Amino acid sequence: MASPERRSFGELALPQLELLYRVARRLVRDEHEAEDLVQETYLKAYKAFARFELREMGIRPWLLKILNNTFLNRIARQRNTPRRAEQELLEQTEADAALPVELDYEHLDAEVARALEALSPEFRAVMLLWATMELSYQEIADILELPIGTVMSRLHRARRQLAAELKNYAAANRVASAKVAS
Amino acid sequence: MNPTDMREQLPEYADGALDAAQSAAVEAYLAAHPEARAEVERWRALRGSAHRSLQSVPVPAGLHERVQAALEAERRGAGRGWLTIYRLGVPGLAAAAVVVALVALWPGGARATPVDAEGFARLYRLCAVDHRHDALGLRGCRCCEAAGKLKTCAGFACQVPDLGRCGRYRVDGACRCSPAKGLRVVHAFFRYEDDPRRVVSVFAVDRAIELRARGVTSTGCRTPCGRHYHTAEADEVHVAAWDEGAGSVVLVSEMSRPDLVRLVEELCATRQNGALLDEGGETGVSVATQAAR
Repeated sequence: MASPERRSFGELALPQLELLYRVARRLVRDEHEAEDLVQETYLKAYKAFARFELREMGIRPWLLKILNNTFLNRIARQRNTPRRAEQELLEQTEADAALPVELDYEHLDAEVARALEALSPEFRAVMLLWATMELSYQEIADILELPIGTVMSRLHRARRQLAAELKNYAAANRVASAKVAS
Repeated sequence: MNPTDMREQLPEYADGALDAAQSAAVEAYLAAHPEARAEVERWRALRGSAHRSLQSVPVPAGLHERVQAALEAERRGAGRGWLTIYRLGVPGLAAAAVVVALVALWPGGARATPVDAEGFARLYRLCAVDHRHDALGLRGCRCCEAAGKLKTCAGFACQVPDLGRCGRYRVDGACRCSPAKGLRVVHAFFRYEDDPRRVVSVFAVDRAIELRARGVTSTGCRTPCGRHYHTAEADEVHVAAWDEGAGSVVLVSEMSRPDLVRLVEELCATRQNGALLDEGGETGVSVATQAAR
């Protein structure tokens, strides 16, 4: 693999722009803020590019890591004090992890997007990286700078919450269908 | 492993995240439990759905160009300064120190930051004309309202001329894209209602700037009421800049130079008459101070 010194920053990083924007957009829920976040990420990456070692981490995980850190810094500033992950874990409600059987998962994208948006930022970040379908749990842990056990725990909790949201959705659909039938 | 533990592992199995021994155990369980196999398929389908919902996020037009422009501004900014001076060697450093001292001692000389007109022209093309980059969500806003909103968005004391006083302009968008590294700006662009092809960009800059074109200081002029401004041409557009409060205002348009100059004179005259521009006057720079410049 060519070293980053031989390949320019733009050549390596700009092809990742769309994915980064999409993740950012789901993180911050506002298109202007998402673009701002992506621009800041690219500027930080550009400044740090000399220290970037492609053999340690691919360009995509590295950019996602910068994006996530920039995002967390922003929300920490907004909240004034960073919230501890353990606190977040405690706030999650316990729910049965099984997914409802009656839903058509091939046509549920909007509902899944809505359920992802309902997650707290830390859990949403884990689930968005999971949703890229390209990253192993270990790579997600590297990007988020968390132990792999914490990533697995957050995925587990986030899946439970998604399952609960989808159960509510399925129940609401059942009620609506029953009303139409009657 | 009991059935509850086994079911807890189904999502991780669906993700291919279990080791060989765990996978084998789950597969043995799945062989005997068709409902668990269906559960695995649902988890896979859910991940597919989450993936599609991520992929369906529309990417705004011009994002690539704007990020490239920001990187280019960063590159150009980083290319100047210490590295360039360092390459001059010891005699060069000594000469640079003398120049810095002279500039610092010259009245008002140390204030202005040199900025290329090309940077403003590029953002005019990219944000105002090609992509109507309304990152601050001001499209459709009345001109007189825009000044106040931009001040709030800017994060620094600035004044944005009210183009509504110079004709039937409407706000077409606003963003914070900057033409140079470290320079904080708000950029509002306006369309003339009687001729929508006529677009005027107004940049409120956080500091006094020295407008440069192709590396040299731009043409200096004076309005009939005595205010200084500079004009330059870059990329077939005209750029005009003048000091306003602690910062600068830059106008960019494809209109002819005389038309742009007329606009500058009108805006400066409006300011001179105290009728402006910025409702709050937060910068606290009096008309007398402006006239004294």
